[in-house]
Amino acid sequence: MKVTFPQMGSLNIPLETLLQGLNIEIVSPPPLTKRTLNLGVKYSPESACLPFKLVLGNFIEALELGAEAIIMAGGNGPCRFGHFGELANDILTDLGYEFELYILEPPVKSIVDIFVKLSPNFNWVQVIKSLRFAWKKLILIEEIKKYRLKHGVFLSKNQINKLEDEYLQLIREAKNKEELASIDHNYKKEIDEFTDGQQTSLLKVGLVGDIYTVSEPFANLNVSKRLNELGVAIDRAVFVSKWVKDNLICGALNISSNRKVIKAAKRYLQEGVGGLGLETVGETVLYGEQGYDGVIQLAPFGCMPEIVAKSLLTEVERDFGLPVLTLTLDEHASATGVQTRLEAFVDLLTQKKNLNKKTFLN
Amino acid sequence: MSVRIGIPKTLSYYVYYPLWEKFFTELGAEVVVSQNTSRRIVDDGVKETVNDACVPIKLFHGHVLNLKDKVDYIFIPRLVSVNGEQIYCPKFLGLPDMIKSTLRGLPEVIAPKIDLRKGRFELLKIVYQVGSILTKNLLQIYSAFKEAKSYFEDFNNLLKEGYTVEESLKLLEGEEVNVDLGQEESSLKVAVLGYPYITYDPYISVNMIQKLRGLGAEVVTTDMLTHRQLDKQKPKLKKDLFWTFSGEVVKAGYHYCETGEIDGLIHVTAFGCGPDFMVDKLLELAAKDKEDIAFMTLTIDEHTGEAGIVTRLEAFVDMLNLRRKH
Repeated sequence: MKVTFPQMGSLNIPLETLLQGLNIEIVSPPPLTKRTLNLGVKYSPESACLPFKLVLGNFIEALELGAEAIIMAGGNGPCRFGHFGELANDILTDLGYEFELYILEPPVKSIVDIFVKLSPNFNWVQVIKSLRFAWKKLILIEEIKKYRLKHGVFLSKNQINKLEDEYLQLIREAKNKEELASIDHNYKKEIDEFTDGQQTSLLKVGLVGDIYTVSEPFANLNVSKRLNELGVAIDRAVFVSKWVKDNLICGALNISSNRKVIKAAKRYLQEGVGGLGLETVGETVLYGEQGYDGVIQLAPFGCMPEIVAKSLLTEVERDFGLPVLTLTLDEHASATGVQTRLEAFVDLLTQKKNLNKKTFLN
Repeated sequence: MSVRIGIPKTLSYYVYYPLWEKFFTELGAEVVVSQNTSRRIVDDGVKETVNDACVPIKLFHGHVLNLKDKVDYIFIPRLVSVNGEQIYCPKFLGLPDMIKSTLRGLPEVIAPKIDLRKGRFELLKIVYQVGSILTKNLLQIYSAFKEAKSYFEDFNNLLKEGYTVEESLKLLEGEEVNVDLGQEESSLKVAVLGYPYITYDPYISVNMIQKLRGLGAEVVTTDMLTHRQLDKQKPKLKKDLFWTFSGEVVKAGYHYCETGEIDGLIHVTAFGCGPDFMVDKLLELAAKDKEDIAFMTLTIDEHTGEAGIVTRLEAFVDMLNLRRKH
């Protein structure tokens, strides 16, 4: 049976590695395009959030390519993500597609059962081996993204795209640990060469928000690359590996791992509100404490946890003198609009910084 | 002078007000309710609230502002889980925090966290926590709560009989209510499904229930069903909805579609309501399966005009009447 899964950022690479390691035949979801979005918008309920629309559109494209089964994660709310699977199932069945849907959610046993069913020759040694290698790839992908966000300042969007595509392809094809290590090394060297002799960045900005919108460049209209181009060094608070560690592993063991973030948020928000709402508040506070110049919050339109977070960020902004820009994204968001707002935000941060320097010298 | 406790007249007011009111008055406090929703309250709320929030949340901010200078405390419980299984939407979970950070110069906010997933003992702890603000006498708190609970049961029984929240509250206070619930057999029956804070708020729902009754239709809602009736519909959902109110609305929709006692189903939703993207689709699919049940979604927001809603209601009822004839 050919299996597909939702695309988010570069998540397809580790997932391919994992599923292929288990000898499961896959149809990799095609990259997100305008067509994906249009399909999603057409068949989703009007008030669904952007991630749902993209995921649904992407499923349709994968089913057209011959996928017979869909694997996706579930959840237990209150973020709407936990119901994506069931709703997508109803909508796609209503459209006449035939497929099987497997939703991965606790308890762990039900997840194992799904893989036992899908894999023709399931054995634990193989599972652990593929899982470890897939995890390594995930970490490396995030590592090179982090490095570029921080050091790829003043690189043009095209340069970044070219470089990243090339290296992501290498990671996708990598067969062993050694290859991964050399990819890591080469990539960093290349970024350093590109940026050598460039002016150093003045501004440090933190990126927070909903995990899908932050991870998927198509959904956020390449915000991070645009910021790099404008000469901003970025620290991204949200990564899939971090989320997996905090929620799946520590959640299963019932220990809270990101205590630091929860503690930081405590003054403003005392209760988890689903999604990454609490983390958005906590991370913003931490950026404020570390003296960042600004924070950008990314949220899909109508995202409930991020709306709550946004309402509290006003106070964080006031307390730390930390400008926060919220970009709300949906199918109507335009690249030019986002670019203009980012430029204005960066101008404002630069001026604020210069002003502070002057008063300091006086 | 007794302590004045303010309760905003929206959101969970429409579900739990009698319980709270009785509890606080038994303990000697004076309960002050914000005024009925008005243009002014809506506008005040819209001005202060984060702009992506849904109307009910904006409205809540407006009601708190309305109470601000009249009371010593404002009661905003943080509803996390009341039935021990489902939770509430993120905005309910973060409500006290949102209010405190958005609105300046508020009196003290009483915001107990109500999470009954931790066991039955938890409820007593919350009752004590809230009661101890007014008195340290344990026995008095306990008897006040018992009193409030039986009062609350009376309220729920009235709802089951078919009265709206407003009417039930009036009846509880011994006032006369002029409604004839014994409709003739032949009249149309319309289910108005939506969250209690939308369907029962006469301003925000532009008095939809009364309007439908005026057009000769009998109105049924979610609250008129018992928990047993709702729970019976649970197996139809592949996965129970996370959100308490949403789950109830969907199950009520399934119930009315199953019994086939209704002619039409109106889903009332607020613009920007997150969970409703699911609820609306599920209700639509449920009604689609039943040929003789008409379905309509009415989305309300802060700009909703009475004429627009009334026109659609009239057209809907006309259509139902035509269908009856053929």
